[in-house]
Amino acid sequence: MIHTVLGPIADDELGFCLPHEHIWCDQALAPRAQLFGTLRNTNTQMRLDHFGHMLEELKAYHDAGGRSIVEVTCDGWGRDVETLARLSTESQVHVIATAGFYIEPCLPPIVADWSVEKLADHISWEIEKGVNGTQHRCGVLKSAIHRARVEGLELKGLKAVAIAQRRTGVAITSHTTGGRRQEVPGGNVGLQQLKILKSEGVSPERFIVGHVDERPDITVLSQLASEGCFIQFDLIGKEHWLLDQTRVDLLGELVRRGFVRHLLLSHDRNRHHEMRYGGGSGYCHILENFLSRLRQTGLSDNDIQLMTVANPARAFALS
Amino acid sequence: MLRYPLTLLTKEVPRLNLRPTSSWLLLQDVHAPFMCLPGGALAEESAKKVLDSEFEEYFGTVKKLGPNISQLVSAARDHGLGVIYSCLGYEEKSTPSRFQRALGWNWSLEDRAKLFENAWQPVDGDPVFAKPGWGALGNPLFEEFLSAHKIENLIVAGAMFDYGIRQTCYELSDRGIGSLIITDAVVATTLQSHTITASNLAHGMVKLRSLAELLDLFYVMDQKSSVLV
Repeated sequence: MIHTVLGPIADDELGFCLPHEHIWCDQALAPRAQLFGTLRNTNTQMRLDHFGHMLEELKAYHDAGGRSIVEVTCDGWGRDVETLARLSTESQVHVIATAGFYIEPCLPPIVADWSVEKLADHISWEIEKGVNGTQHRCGVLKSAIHRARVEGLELKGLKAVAIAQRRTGVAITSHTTGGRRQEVPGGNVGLQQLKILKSEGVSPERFIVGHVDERPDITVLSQLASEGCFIQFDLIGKEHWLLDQTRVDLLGELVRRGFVRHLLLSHDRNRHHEMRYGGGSGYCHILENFLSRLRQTGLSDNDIQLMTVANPARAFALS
Repeated sequence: MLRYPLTLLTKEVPRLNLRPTSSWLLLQDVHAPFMCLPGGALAEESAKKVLDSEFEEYFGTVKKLGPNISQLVSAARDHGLGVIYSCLGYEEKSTPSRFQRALGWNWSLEDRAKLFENAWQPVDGDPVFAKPGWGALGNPLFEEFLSAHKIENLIVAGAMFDYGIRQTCYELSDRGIGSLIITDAVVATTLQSHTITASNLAHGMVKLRSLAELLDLFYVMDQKSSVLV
């Protein structure tokens, strides 16, 4: 069973799934935005907030063959489960909402004020009962690490997420470092997160390491997959980090190494200009452009079905 | 589209240890020619050649980040860090460098009172080094100073990020000295150039933090006498 904002669905109803996207968010709401710096360009900050546009984006995705999206906006920068529920109803796309914590500049004050246990209670409630008094439940937990190390409030959030995972059985998806990636051994803080999660009793099979395609190191990716984690190429189409061709090459190599059952694909759309109405390819880039390149590199339809349908179903099913 | 393939291959930036004895603040090219509006050489030259629009982003950023530089200097002093100035120009008893003659930027650094904005004026004892070219280490006295004071890393702010500060940070890195660039206290000629420079520098021995993040680090440094970045 998988929790969507409209209620539970069977694992095999999930269909083609994008496991790391935003549909409704606004980074201008970040409680500690000053940490981003004075020069941050507010014209290109993460914001999706037009109902009509986003409905069209979701319908286009559905028309292209997409069936579900994991919406990874956390409390602190505009998560709105009621809007997500309306969009899901009208677009026929399953939407999974997220409990947990984004990076330090976006953390709500409760993360500093409350104990780890109280935070765990709070996010467990969002999964088991609903968000902010609604019936709309979250179906995944998130841990985001902005720093080069897991420390401070982000560590506190991760520990709360670990407790909530053990209670609820949902997966943990992660944001790993972003602008600090040059300071992290192997380019990804996922190994540090995994070590802490294991020490807190979380199974690696319940951990999705996000943003591995910002600064990928094939050795680290293989290690994470060997441990049992999902490794998520979720910046597909964002070629300023890495060329899509490099992503294709890396995915091909990981499949050859036997890790196809650990791979997930997504775009992490979060800005107007990335959407179709803003001139981008929206949620359709993987379906319309990227999968054909994977096939050209020798991956089979079965490999692709695993990465886009079966693996997400396994990842987001309650354990 | 901006891409940075070399940074995909380089090893991670090692941690910097900030502490008052071995960490100093370097203010580079914060003197009048670059930071004074109007009246600075860059402002006057661009106006004379009807190139103001080309420098619109630069001047806009100077105005925007001036208060950050001011706050940074105050914070560094309050937390016990020394402040070093390095400025393109020449001392009175010296002569302009070949670089300065080539550019026509042969500015005397003698009249200190007029050289800096009040908000970041050097105080008694702050060393002010002449910079013969883009990099601060072009002046051997600057390097001797770093060595004599056992300086392990520098917090870096100032103007001409994409030319002078970049050069200085690479030179410091070559010598094993770490740099912590305050991204909203450095001014590049354009915002795009700021992004390119920051992204390419963020490997080797150079780290990037916003001013707000640095102030948080100073808070920890006060409590523990040093802080790892």
